[in-house]
Amino acid sequence: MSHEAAPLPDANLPPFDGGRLLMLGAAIAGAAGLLLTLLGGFFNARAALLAYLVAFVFWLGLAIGAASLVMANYAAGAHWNVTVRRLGEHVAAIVPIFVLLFLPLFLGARYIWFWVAPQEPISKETLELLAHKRIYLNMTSFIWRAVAYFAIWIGIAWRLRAVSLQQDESGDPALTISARRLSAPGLVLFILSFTFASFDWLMSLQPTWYSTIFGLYVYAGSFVASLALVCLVVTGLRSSEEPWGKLISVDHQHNLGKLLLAFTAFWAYMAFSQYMLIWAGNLPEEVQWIVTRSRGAWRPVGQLILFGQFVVPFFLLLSRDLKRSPPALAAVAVWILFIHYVDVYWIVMPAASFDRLGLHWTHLTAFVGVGGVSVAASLFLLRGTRPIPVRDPFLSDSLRYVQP
Amino acid sequence: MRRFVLGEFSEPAACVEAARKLHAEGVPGLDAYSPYPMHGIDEALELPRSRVPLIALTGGVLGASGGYAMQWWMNSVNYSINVGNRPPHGFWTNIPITFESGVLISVLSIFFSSIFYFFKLPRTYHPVFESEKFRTASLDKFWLSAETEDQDQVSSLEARFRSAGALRVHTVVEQV
Amino acid sequence: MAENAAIYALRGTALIEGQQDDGTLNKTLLDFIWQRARPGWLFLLAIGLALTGLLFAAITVTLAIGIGMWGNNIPVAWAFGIINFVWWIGIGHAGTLISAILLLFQQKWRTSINRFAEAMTLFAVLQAALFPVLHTGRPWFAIYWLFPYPSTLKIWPQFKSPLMWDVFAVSTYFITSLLFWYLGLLPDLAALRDSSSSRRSRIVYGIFALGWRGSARHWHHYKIAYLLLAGLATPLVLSVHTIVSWDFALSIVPGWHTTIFPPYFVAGAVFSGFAMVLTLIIPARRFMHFKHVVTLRHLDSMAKVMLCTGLIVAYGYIMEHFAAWYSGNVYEQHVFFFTRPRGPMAWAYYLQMFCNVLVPQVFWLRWARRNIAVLWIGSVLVNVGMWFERFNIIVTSLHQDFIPSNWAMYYPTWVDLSLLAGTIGFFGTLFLLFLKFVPAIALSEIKELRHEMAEGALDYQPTEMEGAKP
Repeated sequence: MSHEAAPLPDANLPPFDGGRLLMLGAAIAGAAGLLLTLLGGFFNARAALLAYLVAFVFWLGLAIGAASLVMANYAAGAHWNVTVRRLGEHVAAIVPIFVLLFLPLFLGARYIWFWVAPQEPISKETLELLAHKRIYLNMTSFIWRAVAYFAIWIGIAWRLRAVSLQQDESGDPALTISARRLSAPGLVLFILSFTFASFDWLMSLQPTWYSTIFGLYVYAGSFVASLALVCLVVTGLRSSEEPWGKLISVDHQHNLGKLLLAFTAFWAYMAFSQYMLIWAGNLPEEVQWIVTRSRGAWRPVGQLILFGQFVVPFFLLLSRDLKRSPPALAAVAVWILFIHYVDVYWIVMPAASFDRLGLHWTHLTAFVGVGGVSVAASLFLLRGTRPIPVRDPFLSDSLRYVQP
Repeated sequence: MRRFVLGEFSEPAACVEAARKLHAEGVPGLDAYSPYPMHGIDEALELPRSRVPLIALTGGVLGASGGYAMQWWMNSVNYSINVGNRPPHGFWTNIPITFESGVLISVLSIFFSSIFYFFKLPRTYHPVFESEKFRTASLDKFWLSAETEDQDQVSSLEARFRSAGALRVHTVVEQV
Repeated sequence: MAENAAIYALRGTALIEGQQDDGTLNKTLLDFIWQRARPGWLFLLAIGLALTGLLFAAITVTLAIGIGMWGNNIPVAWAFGIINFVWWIGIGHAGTLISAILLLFQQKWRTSINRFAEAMTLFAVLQAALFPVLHTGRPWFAIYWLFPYPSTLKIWPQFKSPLMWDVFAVSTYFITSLLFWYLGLLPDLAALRDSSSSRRSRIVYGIFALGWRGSARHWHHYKIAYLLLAGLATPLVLSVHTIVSWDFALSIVPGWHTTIFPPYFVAGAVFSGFAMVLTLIIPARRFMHFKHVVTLRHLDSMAKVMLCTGLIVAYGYIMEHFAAWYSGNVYEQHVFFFTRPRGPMAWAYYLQMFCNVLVPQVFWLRWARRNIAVLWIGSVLVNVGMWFERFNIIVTSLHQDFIPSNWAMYYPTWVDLSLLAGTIGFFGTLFLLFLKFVPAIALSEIKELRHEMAEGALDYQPTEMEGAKP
């Protein structure tokens, strides 16, 4: 442990104004992507909407995961994370745009979710089952639940950001207390609401299927991806000329890398628990999900996820040197983000296309569209603020933090 | 007949500083003793990187592959049993024991390599225990020792220990 | 002043109270070992030994007559034996969580309670391991039923069964916990050897200390070995209760076969384990004078972990009930909406929900986390609730299975109850002996912590701040 206090950042350091080009570029690419996806929707509504759902869940999950990271650190009373916290707050703060982005899913629901308007010739048993689930799986309650989810996410994510920014001005430690008070119940609400959101939007793609761990599985994947995103931003900031980036030390990066390692294993734990139990139980109503996903064209995708989201990053991240090297950690982070996209794809697409991968050009446009808008919104919010909470009572602890 | 010159310190920082100084002067067989690990002593004595992680990794890999091979051979080669028509070689159901055996062998190799090889324990006798004063080394004091075969060097070593700040210096002789 | 109060609240109180140095810590923490056994300790030990006697009597009956002496019979083929097994092994999990996971998370407050909790782990796993061995009915054959031993039958254990995974998981867990505990104990055994005043205790502790002399060359490897063991123990402890949950979830019994079981069992294990640590440490810190190292802040942190894991357990309950309805499966619905809440054992269901879901909610309040009486009663209730959770999972799922003509009630016999009471007594006996002969607080780590605090590397509260306490 080093005992000398690191110098506090200069409070007069000008607010962050970098990333202008990236913001504009992302906004333009996002708008273009969304427009092209819309265009694709006129030709093939189902394909475009499914592609859009994959992109929507991927990017929204990053925001939810980042908010959870911020809250988990508050709730645990962590000090080390202060220098990287604001980045997480600004990934989380983009949730409101997803209210708008949700509209296409709402309008095109009958193309995506089979239960909205079951038309094809289906068996009597399935019809009875859907009738049983009608209280939950109907458009009215679907919308109201979505409203509740967004209210929770936006309310908490914006409150966290507001409290933190307010502290930059006043330096009042009581604000940290109120953020902590918000965070513990906030996490409870986030996990519950995201679980049911994953039931509504993903699990109900195959409405006869169910798995009680599914919410945690999707949550764990999103959390790992958001950690990877924070790692990517941190390594980028540290390598740039940005003066704020110099305040984030290699030890902070190292700790994020460790968390990435731990939660990669956590994701694998959830995935294995779900897959193995269903495989071993072999009950028709459950096993349908993994049967589609482990046959034909989907089999190599599943194997890619097994190796790509667990085996490879886990063993790479065991290395201390890798976690401390910005380019190496950034490369792993990019890989994890990519493979998380594949994972969401693997959750969504087989429900619609049993035998083929269902690749469609709108997957690219939807990804760029939702992603571009998200990145632009996040940078828009970040510009003009300080990327490090300069008057947080634990900033000096955080700056002094070293790996044991 | 090995002789150990012992010096006592009351603060870890002073002990580490003295160790750094004496090590730089090239004092032979230098070692430090403390009730808990002292920060910076590894650098002061320039100890090489520990090989415990390597042993742990080797044990883990051997244990895990051995565990998997055991299940594969016993349940699908040597005496194949059909259970609920699952494949005799069930990859997914082999994972738990593979993991457990990896951990088990890794833990055993860490523990026993540390005790028997790295610590060279258990031992019934060590010359430093000749000194009754040295009992504080596990309680609240910090000690340095230098080792020599040569009786003539003892007084010069004792002087060096004193000049490095040792509060109490004395020498013990190995009883063979 | 208000700002000071806020910072004070954020920083929390000191982890070690009062003006301490290595000498006073040695004296206060080893005092209980060097002083004569107190009447209270002897009285508790007598109760523990009496119950241990009962345990051995019940074991003798079980082995001599057979497990027909237990209350379980088809359809309730698993009952007290497995309930107690899961309950005890779950209690054990807190020890590893405190000693390994909190170490990796650099939670300094673990230092005061890790030795205590690790000992609890060892003794709890020991009790747990008794039950499956007895449940085999003829434990002297268990060697080739459970371990891959090349017997003349030429048949090997069936590795697709989670019961086999249990054998590997529990034995690995016990060995790892024991070695981890002993490695941590080594410097303290040396401290006992070196602070002993009688020749006899010097020799005895000297033997167990293996000649440890605190050499820097040893500490160098020791630190890494300890950290690696912690790193391995962390996934291990998660795997153990995960595998225990698979004992149930791999079957297709309604109420057992559900994918949320692994995380929910692990959380439940930590939940009950922390409850047990609190149940034991609250009296221990008082009677053994550990209040300066096991402070209200420690109790507060443990209560928070209990709340957090209790919430995960509640999440598991919500998912189970939701999926039972959502699945449309009549058997699932029968278990979750009829057998458990409205069946003949409904009282156990409501007791479980009260103890595991409602009681921990009180720990949202700082007041409750720092009120010794509330904390202790809450922790006992959680222990009770977690026992009944396993009772409900196991017995209620089985006693009304797929065909109503199979249904039957379950009643435990005196042997079942004696085994439960007996293991509690045996556990207590081992724990009392541990408290008397081994430092219950990791002395060397506490001294290191005090040193770090004094160096200002940690959030140490200067004494004048005590006056500013709101």
